[in-house]
Amino acid sequence: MSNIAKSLLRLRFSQQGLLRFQAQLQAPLKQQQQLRTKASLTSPGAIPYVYTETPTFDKSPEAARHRKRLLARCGLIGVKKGMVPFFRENGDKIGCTVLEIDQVEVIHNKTLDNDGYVAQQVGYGYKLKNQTKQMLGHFSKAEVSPKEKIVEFQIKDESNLLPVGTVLKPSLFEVGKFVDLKSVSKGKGFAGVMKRWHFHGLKASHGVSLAHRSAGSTGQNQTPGRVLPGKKMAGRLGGDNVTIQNVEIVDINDEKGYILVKGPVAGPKGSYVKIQDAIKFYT
Amino acid sequence: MFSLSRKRVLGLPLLINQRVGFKTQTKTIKVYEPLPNAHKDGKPLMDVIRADQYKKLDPSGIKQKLLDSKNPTRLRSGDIVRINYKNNIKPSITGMIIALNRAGLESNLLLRNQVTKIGVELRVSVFNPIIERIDILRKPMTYRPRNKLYYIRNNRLDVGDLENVKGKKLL
Repeated sequence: MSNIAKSLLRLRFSQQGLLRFQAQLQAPLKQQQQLRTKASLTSPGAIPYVYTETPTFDKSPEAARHRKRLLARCGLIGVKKGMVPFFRENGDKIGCTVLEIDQVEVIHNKTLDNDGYVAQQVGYGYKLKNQTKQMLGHFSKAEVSPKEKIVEFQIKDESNLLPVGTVLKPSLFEVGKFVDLKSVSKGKGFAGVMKRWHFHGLKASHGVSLAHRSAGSTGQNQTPGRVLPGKKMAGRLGGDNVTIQNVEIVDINDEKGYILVKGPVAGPKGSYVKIQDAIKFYT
Repeated sequence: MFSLSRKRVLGLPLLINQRVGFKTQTKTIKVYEPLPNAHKDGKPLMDVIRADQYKKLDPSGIKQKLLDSKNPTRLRSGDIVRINYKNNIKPSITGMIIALNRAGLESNLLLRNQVTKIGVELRVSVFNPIIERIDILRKPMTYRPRNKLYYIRNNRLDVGDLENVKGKKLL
């Protein structure tokens, strides 16, 4: 049954509405109780109106928030520093990415009443140069040092919001658990179809002239007479938001402030990486 | 997991001239001190991690010395070596180094041997903690004029069965 049909039914035969209506009738009925001896049904024609609950619209921000697979707690910001090998106890060697966690503090909490969603604002590092007055006021309100990078982590419940000024350390996560890593990939500029979409290109010989890396045909003739939308062509490559899911945490060091995660992470060295609990494991 | 930060104001607070109507007011914004830096002695994090890993994987420095280009008894391609594993997790391996890849902690050797007249190759990470030690069984009288000896495969220059190599034949 479609959602529209459901809401229409709810409008017509809302049980709660009927109950409320009956409660309203109670007062005059009590006066007539002495006269009445038998149970009787109220005729539908005698009901002037029925109270119905306001339906929640699917497009409302509140409904959208409930649909999202939100995590219970906030994550960390790290900076990609490079890769190192890591040897497991059985002698397996794995390549790991080093994510530096430096001066990560909670700056601000967003609540349902104020902002319409629940989120925790977290800052990374220390930077005083070129800070605006507005941002300096924001940091001083939280009693934290000026930060070089700020991100928000939307979370499910207000009860899990940490107090402002809390220092977050790598041991927020555990070794062997899984995280999602969000970062911006390396920008490649304007790239041809062979690099961008892994086309095979045209032939090296057999009469091909100055078009060895070309895409070839992009469509038909007079019908449809146009290139269909979404056709893979040359264009900007890279510089996208990339999420790598279910990445294992290999090592953690609170004292020196770093996390080792298994495998590569999108983006160049020095790029900021959002580290969160893996959505497929912990929601 | 987490703790509350120290609240110390950095040097001088920031003074800001703010216009309210026709008057200028001076407002101060407190700027807080950064947290004490992690114990890195001002070194880049990657250097710290690499130093820690060398300390953990090669505490005596023997493996690093085997790769050191200034060491006259270092490993070179053409040497015949035996890899001994800790607690006999795996049986020891003998072979001739046909390639040596110097890549810091990821340095590895490509060993070649013949088992029942079939050429066998194995790549071994030098700093793998399950490797107890690397014995040099024999060094050739003269080294071949290449550092990568891929060209000896399956021709008259190929290695024989090295399982029973005995005695040192040093330079």
